[in-house]
Amino acid sequence: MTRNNLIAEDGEETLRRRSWLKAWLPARSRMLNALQLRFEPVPDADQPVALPEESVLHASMRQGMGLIIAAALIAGALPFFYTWYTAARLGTAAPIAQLGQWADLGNVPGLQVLGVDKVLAETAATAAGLKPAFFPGWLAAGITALGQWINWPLRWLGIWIVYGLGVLVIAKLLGATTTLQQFYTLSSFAFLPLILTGLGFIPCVGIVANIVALLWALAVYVVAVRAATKLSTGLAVLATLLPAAMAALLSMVLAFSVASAIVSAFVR
Amino acid sequence: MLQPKSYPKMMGQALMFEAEPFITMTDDDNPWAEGLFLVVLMGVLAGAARVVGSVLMTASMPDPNALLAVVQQVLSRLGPLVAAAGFDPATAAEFLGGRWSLGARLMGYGVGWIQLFWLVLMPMLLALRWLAVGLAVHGAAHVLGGNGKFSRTLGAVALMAAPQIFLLLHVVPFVSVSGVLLWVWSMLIVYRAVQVSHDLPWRRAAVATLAASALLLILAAATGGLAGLILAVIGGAA
Repeated sequence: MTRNNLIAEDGEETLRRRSWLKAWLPARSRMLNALQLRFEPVPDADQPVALPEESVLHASMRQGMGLIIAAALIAGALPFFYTWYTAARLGTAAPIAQLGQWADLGNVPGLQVLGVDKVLAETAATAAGLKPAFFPGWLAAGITALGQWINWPLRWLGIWIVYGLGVLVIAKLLGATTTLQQFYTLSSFAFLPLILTGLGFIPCVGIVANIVALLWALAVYVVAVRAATKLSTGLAVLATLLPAAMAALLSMVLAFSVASAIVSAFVR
Repeated sequence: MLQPKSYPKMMGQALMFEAEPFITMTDDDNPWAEGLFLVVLMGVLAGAARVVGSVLMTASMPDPNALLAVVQQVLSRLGPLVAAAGFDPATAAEFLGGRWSLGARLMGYGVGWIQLFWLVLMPMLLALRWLAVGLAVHGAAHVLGGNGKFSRTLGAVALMAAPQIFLLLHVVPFVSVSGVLLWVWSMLIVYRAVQVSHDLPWRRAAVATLAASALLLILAAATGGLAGLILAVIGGAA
């Protein structure tokens, strides 16, 4: 279909919408290639190579960001409607309704030992019964559930930029040659499989969906890092996992420090 | 002088680390004034979003006093546990009651004139951070062989306000924008600003940005400690 035909058939508005979408999202063929781990290595600037049209290397960083936002909104859509529905049924804001789920804390053995299980469960139930100050329950539930939905792309963007920087620094230390834009563009494709995490709130299915999504995303991320940095597969795996290992170690040290401070306060 | 209508495009390009907006800012006839206007505008918009968000949050959530009553009830029922941690349950409940209203309003929960505080605080904070980063990064870049002028550096570094665009989402209650995300993205933009405005290779630009970040983190920690001390003194006096 030529450009003129498109205007004649769908009008100027459709064309504008399509070009806007094209600017903010990678082509479907490129997304499919990424999901199948088909990433060509980035060619050297002094040795340009003709790449096929569906190559992920044609994507831009803006398209990568658009992809992450779109994928996160799709993943968060089901949980959003579920949260809205459950909070609206209670006639309260989503975070307050979610407090009601803490009523199950009564079954946690650790809390039973401390003797706080019933208090926390009853308090959660009381708080869940509090009504919004001004808005009707369904509106308060909707607005607050919307806020939680918007947090999905914000969290994913955080991982993309912050964790990505950790990976990029390690890759550079390992001898990688890449630019910020190339790296972030290619790594954005790793968020596509994470759409499956939107099923995470469903019992049983959710665990399987989360595991598949994480492993798939990890595989795409490693291949993307390998393509962007021209490192070997082993080094790409190392660059991908090292920031997580370091963060886990730091969290353990912090958790241990906090736990020992709490224990010493009780012993005193 | 640039037109504010060109800001969205420039900030979008800065978020994608493209060189064009940095060149535009450094080539401007008055880069620092342009930068100041951009930063303050972003601050006012972010502050306004927070004000609207806090009104919506207050309307959506239960009365803050009702929630305080629930929290105080928990404290009284967990009395032995609170006492075991070294606190007197009655004093803890009283302490909480005395600060609940102010604390809740500062977090955007509860209606009051104090919400408008954000309209002033946000532009001030962003402008101060811009000046501090601009100064630190310019000094570091010069030590590392950079040749840019201070005014041009300030113009380019002003684009570090671009990630604050996510703060506009605070208009919806319970949206949480990670401070780490904003800081890291801003610093990556500063890195590109230094690279372009001082014509430095990537390694030197990265070192200049890291040095400036480290200096500012130390300053922020010191300021935070001082603010905590002042609050503790005010709290003690009250």
